[in-house]
Amino acid sequence: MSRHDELGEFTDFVTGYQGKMVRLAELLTGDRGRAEDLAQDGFAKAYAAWDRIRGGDPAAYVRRCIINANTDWWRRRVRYEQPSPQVPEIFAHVDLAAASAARDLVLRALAKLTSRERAVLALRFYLDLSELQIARELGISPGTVKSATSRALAKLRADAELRSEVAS
Amino acid sequence: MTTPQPGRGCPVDLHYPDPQPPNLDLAAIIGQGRRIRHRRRLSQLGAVLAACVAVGSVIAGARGFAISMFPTPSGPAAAPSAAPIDAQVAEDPPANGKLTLISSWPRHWTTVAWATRRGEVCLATFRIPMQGATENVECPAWLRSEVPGSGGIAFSALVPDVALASSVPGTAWPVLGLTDPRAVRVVLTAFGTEVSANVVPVPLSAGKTVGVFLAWIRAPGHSFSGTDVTNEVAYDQSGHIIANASNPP
Repeated sequence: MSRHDELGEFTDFVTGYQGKMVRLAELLTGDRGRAEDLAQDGFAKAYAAWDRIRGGDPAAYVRRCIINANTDWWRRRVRYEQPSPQVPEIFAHVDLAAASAARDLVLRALAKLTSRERAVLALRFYLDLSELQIARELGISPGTVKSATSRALAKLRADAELRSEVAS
Repeated sequence: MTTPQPGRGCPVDLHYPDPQPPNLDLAAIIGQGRRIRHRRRLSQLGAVLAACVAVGSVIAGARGFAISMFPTPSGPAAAPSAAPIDAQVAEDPPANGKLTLISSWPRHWTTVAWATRRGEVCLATFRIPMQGATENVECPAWLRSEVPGSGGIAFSALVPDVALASSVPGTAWPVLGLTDPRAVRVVLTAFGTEVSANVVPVPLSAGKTVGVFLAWIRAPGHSFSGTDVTNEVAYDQSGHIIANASNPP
């Protein structure tokens, strides 16, 4: 494959998947800027390994890069994650325009979950992966996927802000 | 507005409309990916050289060439003869129709560079006669966005020359880089040692040029990566420093 073919193929891949990957990273981090950084790093690693991964599932490779990078970042930042009902300061800066309101609400809700719970929900309900696929991508057992999903959904259903949103 | 969903599904809609469609910087992604590739290749070269040392194949005297063993910048244009290089040049022809000689050392080996019409810079290393030697063609070796002068950057990422490394067993690493076209010489610092290399101007389109250099870095151990080069300084004809970069990417 010539370099031009490779570049063309990779460009198509980025164009086709950048929306999904940035959204995945945004759901994991709650921060659009960092989400784009994570997605960009993931795509760069994919380009570096393109010869090896292009015949398989390059999207899965980028997803793993994003999830791992987010996990690493999170580990560096806090030794033990402690979800808090307090919304991180970053959300105070989210655009309150109508177009952003939906995103704002979702990210506020997800911010109250653990990073694993966010990852499980994003993979299950945004990317529509099966429990088995999620288990493989996160390196955990299917049972853990199931319990994390269940916990996350329970938290969201009990979320007072979401409930009041329904009521209004 | 996101409507919380009843039942067993997710109470929030993760497919919310994006008020700000993503627009990632493709050139930056590819540039970053290429730097990762280069670092990996350098590591692989380290393994190859380590293997050479392990079987006692170090050529006597090979350690002495790391500094100032470069051709003058005014060498004649080289004519590549290997078919794959010809094919690559045909696919990405030089913007000015000529290849520029970067190095003709060691004996029988030739390294040339050229800029494509798209502003990328390519390089090729080959042996004449071939004698089964491995040739190396990188095209593009540097994207337009990585070429100094187009975005305020003074130095490009360093690119290892796999073919040239195999030509000289030992612990010296041939790496190529781009710099400011006004530079005539660069000094790289790696492992506490300075290595000097002449800068050869390579024509870009529209009358512009970019400086290309080939440096041989000596690694005390048997591994080497781009991050081991901790400083790069470019000098002009008068010996003035025109660019200085510490811990380049």
